[in-house]
Amino acid sequence: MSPEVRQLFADIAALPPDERVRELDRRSPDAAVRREVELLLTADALTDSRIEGPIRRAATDLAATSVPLRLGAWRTVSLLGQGGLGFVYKAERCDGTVEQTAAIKLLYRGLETQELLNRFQRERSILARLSHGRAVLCMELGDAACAIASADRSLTVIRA
Amino acid sequence: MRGILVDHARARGAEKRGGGAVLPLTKPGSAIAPAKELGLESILDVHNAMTALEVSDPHLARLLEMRFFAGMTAEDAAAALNLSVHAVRHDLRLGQAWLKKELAK
Repeated sequence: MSPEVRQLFADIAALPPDERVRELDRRSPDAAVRREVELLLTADALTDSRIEGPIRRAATDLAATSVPLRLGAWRTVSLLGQGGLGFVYKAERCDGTVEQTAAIKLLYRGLETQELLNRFQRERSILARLSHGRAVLCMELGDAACAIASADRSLTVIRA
Repeated sequence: MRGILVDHARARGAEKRGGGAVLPLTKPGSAIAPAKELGLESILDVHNAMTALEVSDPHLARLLEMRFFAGMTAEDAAAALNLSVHAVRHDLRLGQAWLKKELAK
Protein backbone atom coordinates (compact mmCIF):
# COMPACT_ATOMS: atom_id res chain seq x y z
CA MET A 1 0.00 0.00 0.00
CA SER A 2 1.45 3.38 -0.92
CA PRO A 3 2.45 5.76 1.88
CA GLU A 4 0.01 8.28 0.44
CA VAL A 5 -2.94 5.87 0.69
CA ARG A 6 -1.83 4.85 4.15
CA GLN A 7 -1.60 8.42 5.41
CA LEU A 8 -4.78 9.60 3.76
CA PHE A 9 -6.77 6.65 5.12
CA ALA A 10 -5.47 7.29 8.64
CA ASP A 11 -6.36 10.98 8.48
CA ILE A 12 -9.78 10.58 6.90
CA ALA A 13 -10.86 7.56 8.96
CA ALA A 14 -10.18 9.57 12.10
CA LEU A 15 -12.83 12.12 11.08
CA PRO A 16 -16.57 11.83 11.70
CA PRO A 17 -18.30 10.37 8.58
CA ASP A 18 -19.99 13.63 7.61
CA GLU A 19 -16.69 15.50 7.37
CA ARG A 20 -14.88 12.96 5.24
CA VAL A 21 -15.99 13.95 1.76
CA ARG A 22 -15.13 17.59 2.37
CA GLU A 23 -11.67 16.69 3.64
CA LEU A 24 -11.07 14.33 0.69
CA ASP A 25 -12.05 17.16 -1.67
CA ARG A 26 -9.76 19.55 0.13
CA ARG A 27 -6.77 17.18 -0.05
CA SER A 28 -7.60 16.40 -3.70
CA PRO A 29 -5.47 13.27 -4.16
CA ASP A 30 -5.23 11.86 -7.66
CA ALA A 31 -8.18 9.78 -8.81
CA ALA A 32 -6.60 6.34 -8.22
CA VAL A 33 -5.52 7.18 -4.68
CA ARG A 34 -8.92 8.67 -3.89
CA ARG A 35 -10.68 5.57 -5.22
CA GLU A 36 -8.47 3.27 -3.15
CA VAL A 37 -9.04 5.30 0.02
CA GLU A 38 -12.80 5.42 -0.57
CA LEU A 39 -12.91 1.65 -0.97
CA LEU A 40 -10.94 1.23 2.23
CA LEU A 41 -13.25 3.60 4.10
CA THR A 42 -16.31 1.72 2.86
CA ALA A 43 -14.77 -1.58 3.96
CA ASP A 44 -13.77 -0.04 7.29
CA ALA A 45 -17.44 0.64 8.01
CA LEU A 46 -18.51 -2.93 7.18
CA THR A 47 -19.06 -5.52 9.82
CA ASP A 48 -17.53 -8.56 8.23
CA SER A 49 -18.20 -11.86 9.91
CA ARG A 50 -15.89 -13.78 7.63
CA ILE A 51 -12.70 -13.09 9.49
CA GLU A 52 -12.71 -13.61 13.24
CA GLY A 53 -15.64 -15.98 13.63
CA PRO A 54 -14.50 -18.65 11.19
CA ILE A 55 -10.94 -18.53 12.48
CA ARG A 56 -12.08 -19.00 16.06
CA ARG A 57 -14.42 -21.85 15.14
CA ALA A 58 -11.76 -23.55 13.04
CA ALA A 59 -9.26 -23.32 15.90
CA THR A 60 -11.76 -24.89 18.27
CA ASP A 61 -12.57 -27.57 15.71
CA LEU A 62 -8.89 -28.26 15.18
CA ALA A 63 -8.25 -28.54 18.89
CA ALA A 64 -11.17 -30.96 19.23
CA THR A 65 -10.27 -33.17 16.30
CA SER A 66 -6.55 -32.96 15.89
CA VAL A 67 -4.55 -35.98 16.64
CA PRO A 68 -1.12 -36.42 17.87
CA LEU A 69 1.26 -33.75 16.81
CA ARG A 70 4.68 -35.34 16.83
CA LEU A 71 7.25 -32.99 18.29
CA GLY A 72 10.68 -34.48 18.61
CA ALA A 73 10.50 -37.31 21.10
CA TRP A 74 7.03 -36.20 22.17
CA ARG A 75 3.49 -36.82 21.01
CA THR A 76 0.58 -34.64 22.07
CA VAL A 77 -2.28 -36.33 23.87
CA SER A 78 -4.78 -33.54 24.43
CA LEU A 79 -5.11 -29.80 24.40
CA LEU A 80 -4.82 -28.31 27.88
CA GLY A 81 -5.34 -24.71 26.97
CA GLN A 82 -4.78 -21.83 24.64
CA GLY A 83 -3.25 -18.48 25.44
CA GLY A 84 -2.11 -15.34 23.75
CA LEU A 85 1.15 -16.87 22.61
CA GLY A 86 0.30 -20.45 21.80
CA PHE A 87 -1.32 -23.76 22.63
CA VAL A 88 -0.45 -25.90 25.62
CA TYR A 89 -0.78 -29.63 25.09
CA LYS A 90 -0.48 -32.59 27.37
CA ALA A 91 2.11 -34.84 25.78
CA GLU A 92 3.90 -38.09 26.32
CA ARG A 93 7.27 -39.35 25.31
CA CYS A 94 7.05 -41.65 22.32
CA ASP A 95 10.61 -42.52 21.47
CA GLY A 96 10.45 -45.83 23.34
CA THR A 97 12.99 -44.87 25.99
CA VAL A 98 11.07 -44.09 29.15
CA GLU A 99 7.46 -43.31 29.99
CA GLN A 100 7.08 -39.66 30.68
CA THR A 101 4.33 -37.05 30.64
CA ALA A 102 4.94 -33.44 29.80
CA ALA A 103 3.16 -30.26 28.89
CA ILE A 104 4.22 -28.78 25.60
CA LYS A 105 3.79 -25.14 24.84
CA LEU A 106 3.70 -24.46 21.15
CA LEU A 107 4.24 -20.91 19.94
CA TYR A 108 1.91 -19.69 17.23
CA ARG A 109 3.62 -19.40 13.92
CA GLY A 110 4.71 -15.86 13.17
CA LEU A 111 5.51 -15.11 16.77
CA GLU A 112 9.17 -16.03 16.68
CA THR A 113 10.32 -12.48 17.17
CA GLN A 114 13.69 -12.10 18.81
CA GLU A 115 12.03 -10.37 21.73
CA LEU A 116 9.75 -13.33 22.49
CA LEU A 117 12.49 -15.89 21.94
CA ASN A 118 14.70 -13.98 24.36
CA ARG A 119 11.89 -13.98 26.87
CA PHE A 120 11.58 -17.75 26.64
CA GLN A 121 15.34 -18.12 26.92
CA ARG A 122 15.27 -16.07 30.13
CA GLU A 123 12.35 -18.06 31.46
CA ARG A 124 14.21 -21.25 30.69
CA SER A 125 17.42 -20.08 32.39
CA ILE A 126 15.48 -19.19 35.50
CA LEU A 127 13.63 -22.50 35.53
CA ALA A 128 16.86 -24.40 34.96
CA ARG A 129 18.23 -23.01 38.22
CA LEU A 130 15.19 -23.95 40.28
CA SER A 131 14.99 -27.31 41.94
CA HIS A 132 12.02 -26.76 44.20
CA GLY A 133 9.63 -29.68 44.24
CA ARG A 134 6.75 -27.68 42.84
CA ALA A 135 8.70 -25.83 40.21
CA VAL A 136 8.76 -26.86 36.59
CA LEU A 137 12.07 -28.39 35.58
CA CYS A 138 13.95 -27.70 32.44
CA MET A 139 14.46 -30.97 30.62
CA GLU A 140 14.75 -30.51 26.93
CA LEU A 141 15.38 -27.75 24.44
CA GLY A 142 13.25 -27.18 21.38
CA ASP A 143 14.89 -26.14 18.15
CA ALA A 144 13.82 -22.52 18.29
CA ALA A 145 12.97 -21.58 21.81
CA CYS A 146 13.14 -24.00 24.64
CA ALA A 147 11.69 -27.07 26.15
CA ILE A 148 11.05 -27.36 29.82
CA ALA A 149 9.68 -30.41 31.45
CA SER A 150 9.24 -32.29 34.67
CA ALA A 151 7.24 -35.30 35.71
CA ASP A 152 3.74 -33.87 35.47
CA ARG A 153 4.34 -30.16 35.46
CA SER A 154 6.46 -29.84 32.46
CA LEU A 155 6.65 -27.40 29.66
CA THR A 156 8.16 -27.46 26.22
CA VAL A 157 8.36 -24.48 23.97
CA ILE A 158 8.87 -25.11 20.30
CA ARG A 159 8.30 -23.11 17.20
CA ALA A 160 5.06 -24.12 15.50
CA MET B 1 -0.95 -21.13 13.49
CA ARG B 2 -2.29 -19.81 10.23
CA GLY B 3 -0.52 -22.63 8.37
CA ILE B 4 -1.98 -25.18 10.75
CA LEU B 5 -5.52 -23.81 10.32
CA VAL B 6 -5.22 -23.62 6.56
CA ASP B 7 -3.98 -27.23 6.39
CA HIS B 8 -6.86 -28.16 8.64
CA ALA B 9 -9.41 -26.33 6.47
CA ARG B 10 -8.06 -28.03 3.36
CA ALA B 11 -8.09 -31.44 4.98
CA ARG B 12 -11.67 -30.94 6.16
CA GLY B 13 -12.60 -29.81 2.66
CA ALA B 14 -11.03 -32.96 1.22
CA GLU B 15 -12.84 -35.05 3.80
CA LYS B 16 -16.14 -33.50 2.76
CA ARG B 17 -15.42 -34.35 -0.87
CA GLY B 18 -14.87 -37.99 -0.01
CA GLY B 19 -11.42 -37.99 1.47
CA GLY B 20 -8.16 -38.89 -0.09
CA ALA B 21 -6.11 -35.94 1.03
CA VAL B 22 -6.28 -36.19 4.79
CA LEU B 23 -3.26 -34.54 6.31
CA PRO B 24 -1.18 -36.29 8.92
CA LEU B 25 -2.08 -33.87 11.70
CA THR B 26 -5.82 -34.27 11.39
CA LYS B 27 -8.31 -37.07 11.35
CA PRO B 28 -12.06 -37.22 10.96
CA GLY B 29 -13.61 -36.57 14.35
CA SER B 30 -16.91 -37.99 15.49
CA ALA B 31 -18.87 -35.10 16.92
CA ILE B 32 -17.67 -32.36 14.65
CA ALA B 33 -19.54 -29.68 12.75
CA PRO B 34 -19.69 -29.74 8.94
CA ALA B 35 -16.84 -27.90 7.29
CA LYS B 36 -19.20 -25.36 5.75
CA GLU B 37 -20.71 -24.42 9.08
CA LEU B 38 -17.26 -23.72 10.42
CA GLY B 39 -16.64 -21.25 7.63
CA LEU B 40 -13.56 -23.11 6.50
CA GLU B 41 -13.90 -21.68 2.99
CA SER B 42 -13.59 -18.26 4.59
CA ILE B 43 -10.31 -19.29 6.17
CA LEU B 44 -8.93 -20.15 2.76
CA ASP B 45 -10.21 -16.83 1.37
CA VAL B 46 -8.54 -14.96 4.20
CA HIS B 47 -5.38 -16.99 3.70
CA ASN B 48 -5.28 -16.20 -0.03
CA ALA B 49 -5.81 -12.50 0.58
CA MET B 50 -3.09 -12.50 3.24
CA THR B 51 -0.69 -14.28 0.91
CA ALA B 52 -1.13 -11.44 -1.58
CA LEU B 53 -0.68 -8.86 1.18
CA GLU B 54 2.54 -10.52 2.32
CA VAL B 55 4.03 -9.53 -1.02
CA SER B 56 2.72 -5.97 -1.19
CA ASP B 57 2.85 -5.07 2.49
CA PRO B 58 4.60 -7.61 4.74
CA HIS B 59 4.22 -5.47 7.85
CA LEU B 60 0.43 -5.25 7.58
CA ALA B 61 0.23 -8.96 6.79
CA ARG B 62 2.22 -9.80 9.90
CA LEU B 63 0.03 -7.61 12.09
CA LEU B 64 -3.16 -9.16 10.72
CA GLU B 65 -1.73 -12.60 11.32
CA MET B 66 -0.92 -11.71 14.92
CA ARG B 67 -4.33 -10.20 15.48
CA PHE B 68 -6.55 -12.79 13.83
CA PHE B 69 -4.61 -16.02 13.79
CA ALA B 70 -2.63 -15.67 16.97
CA GLY B 71 -5.39 -13.86 18.85
CA MET B 72 -3.05 -11.15 20.06
CA THR B 73 -4.34 -7.78 21.21
CA ALA B 74 -2.92 -4.56 19.79
CA GLU B 75 -0.94 -4.27 23.03
CA ASP B 76 0.54 -7.78 22.61
CA ALA B 77 1.51 -7.07 19.02
CA ALA B 78 3.02 -3.70 19.89
CA ALA B 79 5.16 -5.31 22.60
CA ALA B 80 6.27 -8.14 20.32
CA LEU B 81 7.21 -5.81 17.47
CA ASN B 82 8.55 -3.03 19.66
CA LEU B 83 6.11 -0.49 18.24
CA SER B 84 3.75 1.96 19.89
CA VAL B 85 0.24 0.71 20.62
CA HIS B 86 -1.06 3.77 18.80
CA ALA B 87 0.83 2.88 15.60
CA VAL B 88 -0.31 -0.73 15.80
CA ARG B 89 -3.97 0.28 16.24
CA HIS B 90 -3.73 2.53 13.20
CA ASP B 91 -2.16 -0.16 11.05
CA LEU B 92 -4.61 -2.78 12.27
CA ARG B 93 -7.54 -0.60 11.26
CA LEU B 94 -6.03 -0.11 7.82
CA GLY B 95 -5.16 -3.81 7.50
CA GLN B 96 -8.65 -4.91 8.50
CA ALA B 97 -10.23 -2.47 6.06
CA TRP B 98 -7.98 -3.84 3.33
CA LEU B 99 -8.86 -7.42 4.19
CA LYS B 100 -12.60 -6.71 4.25
CA LYS B 101 -12.27 -4.93 0.92
CA GLU B 102 -10.55 -7.99 -0.57
CA LEU B 103 -13.07 -10.43 0.88
CA ALA B 104 -15.95 -8.35 -0.50
CA LYS B 105 -14.63 -8.68 -4.07
